[in-house]
Amino acid sequence: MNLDFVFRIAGIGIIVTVISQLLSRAGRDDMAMLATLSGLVIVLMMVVNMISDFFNTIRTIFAL
Amino acid sequence: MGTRVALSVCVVLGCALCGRALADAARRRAAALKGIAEGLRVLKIHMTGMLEPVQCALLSAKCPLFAVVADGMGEGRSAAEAWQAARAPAMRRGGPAEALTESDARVLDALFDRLGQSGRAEQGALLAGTLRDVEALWDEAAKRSAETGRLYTSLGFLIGMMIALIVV
Amino acid sequence: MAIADRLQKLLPGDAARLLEAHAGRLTQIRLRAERPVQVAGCGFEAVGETPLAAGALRRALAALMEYSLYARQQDLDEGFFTLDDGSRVGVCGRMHAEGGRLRMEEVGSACIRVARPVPGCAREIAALMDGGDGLRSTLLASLPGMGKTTLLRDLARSLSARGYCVAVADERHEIAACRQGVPTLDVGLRTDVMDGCPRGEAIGRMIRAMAPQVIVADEIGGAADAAALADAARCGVAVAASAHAGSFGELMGRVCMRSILRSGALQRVVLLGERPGHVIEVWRLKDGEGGSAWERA
Repeated sequence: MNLDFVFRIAGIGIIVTVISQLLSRAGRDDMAMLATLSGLVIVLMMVVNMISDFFNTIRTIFAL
Repeated sequence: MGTRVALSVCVVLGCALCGRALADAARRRAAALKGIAEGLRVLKIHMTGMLEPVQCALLSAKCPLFAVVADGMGEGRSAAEAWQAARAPAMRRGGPAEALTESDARVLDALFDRLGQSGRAEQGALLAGTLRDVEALWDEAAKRSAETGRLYTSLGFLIGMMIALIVV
Repeated sequence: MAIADRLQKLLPGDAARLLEAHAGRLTQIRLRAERPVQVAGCGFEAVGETPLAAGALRRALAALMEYSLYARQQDLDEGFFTLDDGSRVGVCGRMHAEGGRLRMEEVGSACIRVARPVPGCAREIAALMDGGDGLRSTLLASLPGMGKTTLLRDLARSLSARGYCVAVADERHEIAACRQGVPTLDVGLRTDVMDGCPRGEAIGRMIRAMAPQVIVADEIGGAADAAALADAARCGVAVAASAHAGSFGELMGRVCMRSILRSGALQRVVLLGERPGHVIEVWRLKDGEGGSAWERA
């Protein structure tokens, strides 16, 4: 398990939350929404390989 | 490890500075309005105090925008005509009024339309009124510029940290 | 730029053509709202055909005042303002009283007297004044329009060129046409100008402050002028002045002028007439008679 990876994703999550808060307080709610979605997309892209490996592993374990 | 830290710091700072640069337009508008307010103060002294003709007074005010209008008056035009001719080029990229908005320019329209065309008391009132308007605009622009500056700098900083986390 | 050229650019077609036709010899241009433009010069007069619109008159005057009405308001209230080439624009129209002062509200007519410096026209008079044993105080007298101011201007220049320190009392900005204290017309290198100050005051101040050898003043004739001239004579400063009169008798007929002439402050009176700068008569103060006897030279 790559702990470094987990910390990165946690860090990104925190930063995206702060950005979103900053933007909504400045009155730019649409930008805040965009920032949240972008953060989600970035994290998903980072973990997509791991998810794909995870599903492969499930498949081999259960021989689907 | 050390290089990674150094690289992260560079990325973060770089993004913060980018953010500040984006907020530059608001800062330049506030600076331009401040320059115009100072020019108006000197113009009032030269016009109503020393009774200098409009063209001389505009040159003495040491404001780049007023200097453009003064040059335009050189061909025997009134202040209003000179401003109408110089307005569009001045508000384009690179001109002295580049950072001003349309509502800022309307205040200047009202000023130049009546500059030099009435007696001393009326001119004094015109200049004082315009100075009040410009100072109000400047206050608003300065506040907005400070806010935008803070916002964009923080955003830049945070995005920099994110990039550093992802990449480094 | 010459006043006639400037007006040509500012006025509509018919008036501009009239100005162009008589360009070199204009001495007077009269603009009147809703009436044609009139021009006059030495021995001629001409009127345009199309009436000048009130708006066009207003625009032309605004341009002549460099679009700075506030700077000229005081001059307008007095009834005239001077341009930077020495031409005088007299105005009349609707005035109203405000706070005890008269203010010009709307100009209906303007009379522009074109200044035309004529270098050398005062050579004869300068020679008359500079008699070898010091300068003789001289009065130039003529009817209006005979070029007294032009002569005085050139006289200041001539005397300055001859090495004398000249002081000019230019109450109405006509002799030197000063701009912010600096003469725009040639009045000589050794000349100081007091611009816009009442004549009597100006003469007294310059005698005390500028150590002149000769004082030049236009249109003397009042009691204050008499006192100032006496001052000048007492301090050994010569005077070159002008006055309105058709003849020597006319000068003597006025109380103030008579007292000036009898005080011995002046030694020569030059009568001009017929055409600008032309000397008709010269009167001389008889020596040794204490200022009461004048004879024709």
